[in-house]
Amino acid sequence: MYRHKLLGLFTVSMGMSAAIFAPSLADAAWRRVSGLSCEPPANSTAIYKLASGLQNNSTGWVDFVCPIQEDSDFKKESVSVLNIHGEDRHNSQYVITKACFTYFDSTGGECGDPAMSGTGTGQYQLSPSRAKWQLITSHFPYVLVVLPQYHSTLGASTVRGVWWAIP
Amino acid sequence: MQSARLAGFVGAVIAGALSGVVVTIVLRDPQRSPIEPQAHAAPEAASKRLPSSDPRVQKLAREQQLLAQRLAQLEDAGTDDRAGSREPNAEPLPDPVAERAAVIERHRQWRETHAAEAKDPAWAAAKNEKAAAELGQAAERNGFKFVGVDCRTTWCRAEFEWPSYADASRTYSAVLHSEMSGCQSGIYLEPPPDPTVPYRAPAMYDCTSDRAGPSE
Repeated sequence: MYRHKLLGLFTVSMGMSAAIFAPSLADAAWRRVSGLSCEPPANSTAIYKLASGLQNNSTGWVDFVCPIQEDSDFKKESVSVLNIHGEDRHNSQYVITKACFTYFDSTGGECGDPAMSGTGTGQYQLSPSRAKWQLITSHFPYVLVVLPQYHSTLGASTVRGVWWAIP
Repeated sequence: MQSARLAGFVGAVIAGALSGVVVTIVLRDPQRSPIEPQAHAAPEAASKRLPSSDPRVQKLAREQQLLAQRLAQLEDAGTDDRAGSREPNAEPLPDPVAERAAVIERHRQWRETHAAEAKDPAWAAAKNEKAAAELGQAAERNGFKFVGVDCRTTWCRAEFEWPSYADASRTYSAVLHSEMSGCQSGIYLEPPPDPTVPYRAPAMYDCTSDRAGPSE
């Protein structure tokens, strides 16, 4: 009986200390890329690369594609958090983000459900659906960020970067 | 006797706690640490050098030499077999032929699903109008033709025509990235027999979640 109690105490203590020292959710592995890594379409004009990120100073919406690095330890289908950060400076247009992929061995690709900022202005953190990434493993992932056009009084909208994590 | 039992309990608690800490630290993945790795501090022991004649130092030197030889052998083996070499536990790379077949099948199924869908007149009319405006603008901006769009209940199929397959390969992302008000999008460009003639391809839009969400 005494031995059982000792064993029980040992196990409980071990469990409790492991729980205390075990990595928490905040320890989830994460990666991110600066918005400066994102690319506008080839024929784009008035796109500024600034310390604050990539800015759309043009008179139309611009699609930016941001790279998502992937390897066998950090697969897109395991991504549990995907946040795109920046600033929306247009009061009637909005920022659109999507998680997309390019087919691995064919011409084409797919994009998932979008996440959009509101029509107000300010810093944004958007988390588009990752369902497409979870579906098919072999295709090459990227994030699409569509920034609204330059606003004559409020200024230009920005993408600062993309942050993603696995549990 | 009582104090011995108490000491036993305390000992079990301390031993358990220590084991838990040790197990956790050993199993912890250093990549996942939220704390940036610290620079390796020079241990105090480093300054207390042992003489090279010390048998322990000589033994370590021999072991180091053996390890260096073994590493060189492994590196040589890796260079000789560079094309086919993989980590022993590496996952197999996907098969391009199978993957392409899967993509073609996926798009075929989407087209069938769309074709079999009944038309929700109210939603389809509004969606067709909005899609035509968005996709028409995207096509015009990128130098290709928007042929038409057919929205049913949850799916829309839009047709586009490019001056050539090469043009389609360059600008198809305008179709893929088009806002399409909350729909998922997909496009596959099947290689044509003659890549120089005008090239037509459909893009598929799955608007299931758009319909489930708040109205536009």
